[in-house]
Amino acid sequence: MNREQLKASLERLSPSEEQRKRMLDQIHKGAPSNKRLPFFKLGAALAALFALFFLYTELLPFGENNKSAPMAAEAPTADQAVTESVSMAGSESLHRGADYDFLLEHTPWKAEQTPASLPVFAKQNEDKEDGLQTERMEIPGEDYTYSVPVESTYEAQIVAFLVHYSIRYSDGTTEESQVSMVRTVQVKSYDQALEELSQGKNSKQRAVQQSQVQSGQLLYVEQDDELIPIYRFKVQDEWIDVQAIK
Amino acid sequence: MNIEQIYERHVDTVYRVAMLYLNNPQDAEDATQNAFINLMKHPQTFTSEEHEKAWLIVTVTNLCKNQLSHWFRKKRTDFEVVAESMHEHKERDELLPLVYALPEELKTIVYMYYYEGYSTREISQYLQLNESTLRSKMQKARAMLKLELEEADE
Repeated sequence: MNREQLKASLERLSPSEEQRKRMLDQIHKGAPSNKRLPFFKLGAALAALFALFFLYTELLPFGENNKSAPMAAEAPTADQAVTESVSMAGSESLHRGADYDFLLEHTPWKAEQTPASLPVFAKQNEDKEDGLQTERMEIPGEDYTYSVPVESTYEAQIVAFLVHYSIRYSDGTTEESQVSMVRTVQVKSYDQALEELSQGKNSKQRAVQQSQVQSGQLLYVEQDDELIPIYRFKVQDEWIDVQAIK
Repeated sequence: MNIEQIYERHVDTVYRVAMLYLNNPQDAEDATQNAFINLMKHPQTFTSEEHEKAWLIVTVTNLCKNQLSHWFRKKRTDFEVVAESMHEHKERDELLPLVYALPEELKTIVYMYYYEGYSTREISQYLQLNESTLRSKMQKARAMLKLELEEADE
């Protein structure tokens, strides 16, 4: 093999004219193509969907107040809704709008779908950009110093850190390396969460019988600028949350 | 800054680097677009076209590494794409699969040196690498590629 062969090989990676035009069109639109919706975009879309449902169910009681006095008695006030959203991850019970109930009832979480672990999502940090500008920090070691440009890749709400290490040893030599980390958490099984619900564990609610549980769902809620997984069960027209993280 | 002119100048380079990392035309297109969108959103002052190109190479490299680090991609395999590209490589080229197989840390270096013709000094400057470290990486890459390349210009 020689240099020319290598160059010829790399030349074959060039984009076609059609690809060039397509990419330029997308650049003019200011967004990447969405030919395939990657999972991380799906995660962001799901988070947005839940946010929309939350807003919708907050607004719903006001509309229903005007229509029906009996329903207004059951609907939470705006203040209650805010309080509930703050304490969501604290396993408070939640009252939700009828449409939300309908959605969850018709999309119950299946026990066999429960993964052993799930990622924790974080809010997107739009200040971080890729490129030459990087935030650096020095971490002194025993006989070396880490010079770490930290690129927090909060893209699309997944917490993923790509850290480049520049290790400088005492003899003056340096070494470049990198690690990437994704924060994942161990998740209880659906049955385990159901068991805890029935025993009143991890929930400020009373213990309930499993036969009273109408449906359950594994979903993400926001807590401390992160989206974490929880189990949400419907028990006699009431939503009860159980911590999903082990 | 005329983004179209910059695009015309460097799109092939940026796309090729993305392909080296991602080995998937659709992902490479996304990374390429994002690199130029980054430049549009955050205009840079470049001292030369080479500087401009180097910025884009580094940017798309970072974008590709970020994408590769995502948890879902590690678990994802595009069987059709892999099968197709492997077939193409076998038909047309014995060297390209070796380049794909290089560790991530060596791909950009190999591309910049052997394809774009940057000197080791320039690469070390753009990638913020110590020059001796860069040389040792080049030796490693050369061994992996089984290249019989002259070292006089290093």
